[in-house]
Amino acid sequence: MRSWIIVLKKGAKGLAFAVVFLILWILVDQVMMFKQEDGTLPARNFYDLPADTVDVLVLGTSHAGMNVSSQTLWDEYGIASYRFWGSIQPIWNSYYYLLEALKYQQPKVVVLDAHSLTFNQEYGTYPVQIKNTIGLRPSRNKLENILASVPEEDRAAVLLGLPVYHNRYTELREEDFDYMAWQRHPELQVLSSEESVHIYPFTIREPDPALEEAPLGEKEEKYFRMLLEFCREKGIALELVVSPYEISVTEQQKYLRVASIAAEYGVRYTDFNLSYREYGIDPQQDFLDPGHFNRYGLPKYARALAELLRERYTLPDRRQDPDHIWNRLESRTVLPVYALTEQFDGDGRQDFLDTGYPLMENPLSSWTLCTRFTLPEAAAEQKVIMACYEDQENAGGFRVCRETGGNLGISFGKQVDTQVQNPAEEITLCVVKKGKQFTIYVNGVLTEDRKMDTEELLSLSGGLLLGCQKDPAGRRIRFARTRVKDLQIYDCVLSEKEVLEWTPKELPVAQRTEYLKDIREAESILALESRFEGNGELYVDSGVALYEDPERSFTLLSRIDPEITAGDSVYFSCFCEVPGEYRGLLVRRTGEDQLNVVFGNGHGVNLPLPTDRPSVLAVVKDRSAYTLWLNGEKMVDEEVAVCDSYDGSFLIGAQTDASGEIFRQSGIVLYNLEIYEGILKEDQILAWTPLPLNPPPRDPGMDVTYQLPEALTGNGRDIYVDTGIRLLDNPKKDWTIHLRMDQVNVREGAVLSCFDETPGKYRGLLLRQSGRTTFSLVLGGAYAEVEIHPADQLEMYIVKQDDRWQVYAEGELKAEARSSFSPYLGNLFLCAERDQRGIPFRFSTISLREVQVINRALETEEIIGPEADGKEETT
Amino acid sequence: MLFNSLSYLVFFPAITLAYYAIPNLRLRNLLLLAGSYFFYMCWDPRFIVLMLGCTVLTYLNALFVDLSRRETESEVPKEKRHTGGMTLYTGVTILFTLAVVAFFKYANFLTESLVSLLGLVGVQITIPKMNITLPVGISFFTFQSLSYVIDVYRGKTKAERDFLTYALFVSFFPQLVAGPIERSGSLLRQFHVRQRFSSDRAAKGAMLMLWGYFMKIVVADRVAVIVDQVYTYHGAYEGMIPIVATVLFAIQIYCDFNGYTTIAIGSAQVMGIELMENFQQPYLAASVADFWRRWHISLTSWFRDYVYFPLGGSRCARWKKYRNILIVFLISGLWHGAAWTYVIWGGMNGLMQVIGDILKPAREKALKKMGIREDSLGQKLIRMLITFVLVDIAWIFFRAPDLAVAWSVLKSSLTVWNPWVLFDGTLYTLGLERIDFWVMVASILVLAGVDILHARGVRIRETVGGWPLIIRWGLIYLMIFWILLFGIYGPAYDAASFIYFQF
Repeated sequence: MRSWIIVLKKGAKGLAFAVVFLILWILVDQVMMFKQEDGTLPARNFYDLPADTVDVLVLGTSHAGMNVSSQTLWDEYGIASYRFWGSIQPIWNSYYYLLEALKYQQPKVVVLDAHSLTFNQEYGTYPVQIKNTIGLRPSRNKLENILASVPEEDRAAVLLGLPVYHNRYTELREEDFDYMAWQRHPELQVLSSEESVHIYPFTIREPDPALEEAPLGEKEEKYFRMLLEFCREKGIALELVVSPYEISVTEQQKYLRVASIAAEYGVRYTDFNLSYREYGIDPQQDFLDPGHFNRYGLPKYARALAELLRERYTLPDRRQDPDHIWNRLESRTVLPVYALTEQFDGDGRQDFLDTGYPLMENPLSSWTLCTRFTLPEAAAEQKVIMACYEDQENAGGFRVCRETGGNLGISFGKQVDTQVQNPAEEITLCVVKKGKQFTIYVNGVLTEDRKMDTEELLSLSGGLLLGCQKDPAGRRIRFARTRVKDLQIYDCVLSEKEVLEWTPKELPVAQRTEYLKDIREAESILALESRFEGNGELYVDSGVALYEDPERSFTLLSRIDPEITAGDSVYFSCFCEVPGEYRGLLVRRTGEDQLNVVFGNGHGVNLPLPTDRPSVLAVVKDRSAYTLWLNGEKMVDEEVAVCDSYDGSFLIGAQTDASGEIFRQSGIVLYNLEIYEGILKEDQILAWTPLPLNPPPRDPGMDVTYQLPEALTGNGRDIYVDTGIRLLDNPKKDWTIHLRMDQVNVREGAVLSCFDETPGKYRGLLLRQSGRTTFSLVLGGAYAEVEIHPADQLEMYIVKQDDRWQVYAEGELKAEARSSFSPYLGNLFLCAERDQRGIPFRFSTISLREVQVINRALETEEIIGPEADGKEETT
Repeated sequence: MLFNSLSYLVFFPAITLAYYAIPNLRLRNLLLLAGSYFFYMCWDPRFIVLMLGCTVLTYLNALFVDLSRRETESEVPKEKRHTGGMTLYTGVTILFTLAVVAFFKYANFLTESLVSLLGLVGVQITIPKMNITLPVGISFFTFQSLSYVIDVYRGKTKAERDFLTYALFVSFFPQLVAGPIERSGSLLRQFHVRQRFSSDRAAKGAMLMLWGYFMKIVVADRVAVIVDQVYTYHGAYEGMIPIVATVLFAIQIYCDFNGYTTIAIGSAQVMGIELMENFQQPYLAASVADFWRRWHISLTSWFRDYVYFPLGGSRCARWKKYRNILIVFLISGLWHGAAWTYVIWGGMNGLMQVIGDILKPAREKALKKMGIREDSLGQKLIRMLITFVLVDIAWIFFRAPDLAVAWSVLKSSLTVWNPWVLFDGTLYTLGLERIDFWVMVASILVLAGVDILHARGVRIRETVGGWPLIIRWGLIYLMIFWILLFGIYGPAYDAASFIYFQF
């Protein structure tokens, strides 16, 4: 007896162990299982639907699953459809899915997309096997489905499930924990492609009348006939369809066979590849890939299918059934997806708020918007309170505005325009959009209830704006002086009762920014540390992206000099030069006494510039409003110039071209420049008179002492010497070159050079022999020729002292010039010259006996002396 | 049929239930024999003939020896009597069995080696490569049969009269394909006793199987991902990476082999049959000789009893002892696989023992001089570490497909210094992503912990058995689901192929 008790106890323990194990297995399995819209979830979620809630059961590949919009069928016809699909679903999976579905639902018609009948395979690929089997509940149908779909070696694993997806632990997401046994998902199926605007244009192949039937795959035909016989036996209405796609000739031939077999069983077969035009389906714009509709094609095909079904079957409008699961789900209490956190207080000039909520992105979506706002005063142009709107022909969107005549105007879609006459000072507005149906309540009164045609719908990507709308170029316009006290958006349909009961929250009033700042406390964005003296080459890149945030407010104070020494005439800039996208800030001279200031999105003014003294220019940017002061006089008063972001840097003495390269380096003088964050007080702007900054200390330039180590004879091809010294890096630097060379014949090429070959910027030192007794020289920016007597050797001195140049030969001063010039950073070359890329060219054949560079300008006496010695030597 | 296949998870419970359901011992053994033959035939039914032939040959040999011995009249005790016929018959059986093994396992290796050797002396010949399928487990069941024949010849055990029982001894499915290589004395005796079902023993056996599965499919197969990656693309890795891969290979081969034999021991235990322990925490060994006392014990003891001792063992001149060690380990290397890498691996292990033995007096003297006790913890740890490193170096030759690869791995491990690859994320690029990698590390730590506890004499199953039910079950469930989730098994899937919609 006792042993029996022990046995029983042990048995119970073992059983308990097994039960706990099973529970844990199920939990783990539910977490790890695939959760794709493709195959797995349609099967898994099917069981969550209450009995008798599906009237149209759709079976097949992605041509069924991604092309039949259950949303449109429901929204427009009240047809309750369910897509029991998986990509490349073979017909045997459709067969077992049908068997399984009929255990739980009594659809009035089963729609099978015949696409899978064009396959010819024993088994699908492994992912296809998984997708089309694994979502079913454990049942005989599941077992038989796996036996038909999966090769023997993988069957046990697929049946158990976990061996297939146990290693998904690396990819678990929140949604993986949303499909436990106690969590239900009986929602109306939504297609992710209903959002897709991608277009794949193609042409659907016209069938050749002479085309002959092609046999179906053996297994395909077997299961097709099994399905047909099952439907006949059970009296199930079956519709065979083929959704339009980029069909091949072989597939057309197989569909002929499908039609023949369907006819044997008296089943209607509809190939939309033949009749798509009747339904307005356009392969040039309605598909996102060769087989699936985009958001434009989906409603068209759903309508085509609905019309086809309604010809034969009486399908109830389930929207009228308040107990239907999808009606019940819609009435759930939900939280707003967007809500204002503080009141929006628009100034009617430039204030706005971009909620970022893409209200009009999906033209078929359902939502509810509730808001309360004060009405702006009527004016000569519309004053927009809120908008998600495209202001051009054949466009539109959602917009609430005060019309010029004083009405409250509410625009919707492309054409709808509701006018409320004599509106109250404060408006509570609720807009309910349910697919194509939209209803408007103004101060608790139903003002509009209308269903739009599909042609009236449109998709806009931008967010809902408060206080203004955008113009066709994307600029904000029609600012309204309004206060939006509350705004809530729900991504579902609120009932009329809920809408009428909606009351705005008491939101805090947004504090206006304290704009006016004291210069001593204002944060400095940029301050010039020394006077800027441009020379046509120099510029300063401040690294400050002043317009990165176009809403930034700043005060710019500058003292500019009217003198221009070289180059263009840009004082400073932070400006996008791309045609059509001009924006930022650009201050330059466009005439002798004319200062041109371009600001915001290409707004510009010309200001009179005194030419006899420096001027003080102040630019005040209050978000999008600009105020300009010149020499204490307000020249522009809060002109609004809305501007998009520009990430270029603030430049002094230059600007960037359309490709972002520096250009227009200018020879301007800027005595002072300060930029402050925010807006300075007016009296401080007017009183801004700092001392002019000192010029920057000059770079003394490198030491140029040099001695040619040994005589150099050029070959005219590739022999030259790069001395490594920079003669002209500081234009103020003094030096002397002492040359001794053979002088027999005329030689091509450069004897010596330190010369900038950049077109338009030619300057420096260049010595060439232009005739038997003539040498030509460029000295700075000047030109000189030196005549000599024929002799075997020539000794020459080139002396540079500040901007004075002297050339001595044969013991006398041969040439003299004055020339100031901008720095040049190239090295001194002997027997060659360098081109603008720095590559040597113009090689000379001259023989240089001696080359010496002295680090100062020799006095005349120092030069004449050695020459006399030389003369003695030669005589 | 592999232990880590779903079919074994169906086969094993089915045969166990049937085994205990049958009351008659003979019928039970018949069932086990049929099950074992079925198990073997799942690989390749043709080779059942080989196993049956081996069984018949050795059975008859033993019977002949036993009967001859009874008929012989001699002063010598009965079990020690040998006649010329007995010796001849036994010799022929041994040679024939070894020849069969050699044909299936070494024919191509021998011919290729011969061709290479002749090529070295300038003789070019071509011997076509034979397409020989290696029968699964041939090295195990032949060695087990030979041990029986030799034991009977030596008079250590009596010949089994019942062919059915003997055939079961040769083919008992848990240890048929990967050991342990059982001795007749222990296993045959157990087949003569009708085992009663014991839930405690079955539970312990099941837990042992679970531990074996953990070692095999969680640790060994996971670690193998990195090892295979590095050894396959050995040219792409250098420095620390080949070192890490080789250390991981040491873990892989231990868990692979020990995991498999642990499942075997556990399976047998569920049916009331005790098999010998095959591994005793080999990586805690303090010398290479000690390692071999702990590694694949059933094979090492086989070689000790049937090769090393007959050669003279250690009770002979020192050089002979070293010769004997080297011979045993060269043969052992060859037993593990038909390639020169295995021979070198065996030779290295033998050589390391010989060198260890030669250096032993000097080492002991040095330690004594330094005042370090040989049994101190630090000294033990250092010796363990050195042993592990030496064994690891030898493993390179075991794992590498040929000598060139082995040399390349060894060279790049020793000549490149790049420890930063251990920290800069390189380890996650060797086939295991971050999560997978740390699952591997955690599993190895669990394994190491269990081995250390075993070495310290803790009997884990008994200890856990004394804990409250909720903790005990919790641990078992944890182990089961750790294996189910983190094990490398099941048809692989490519996540990307599940994401895309296809036509």
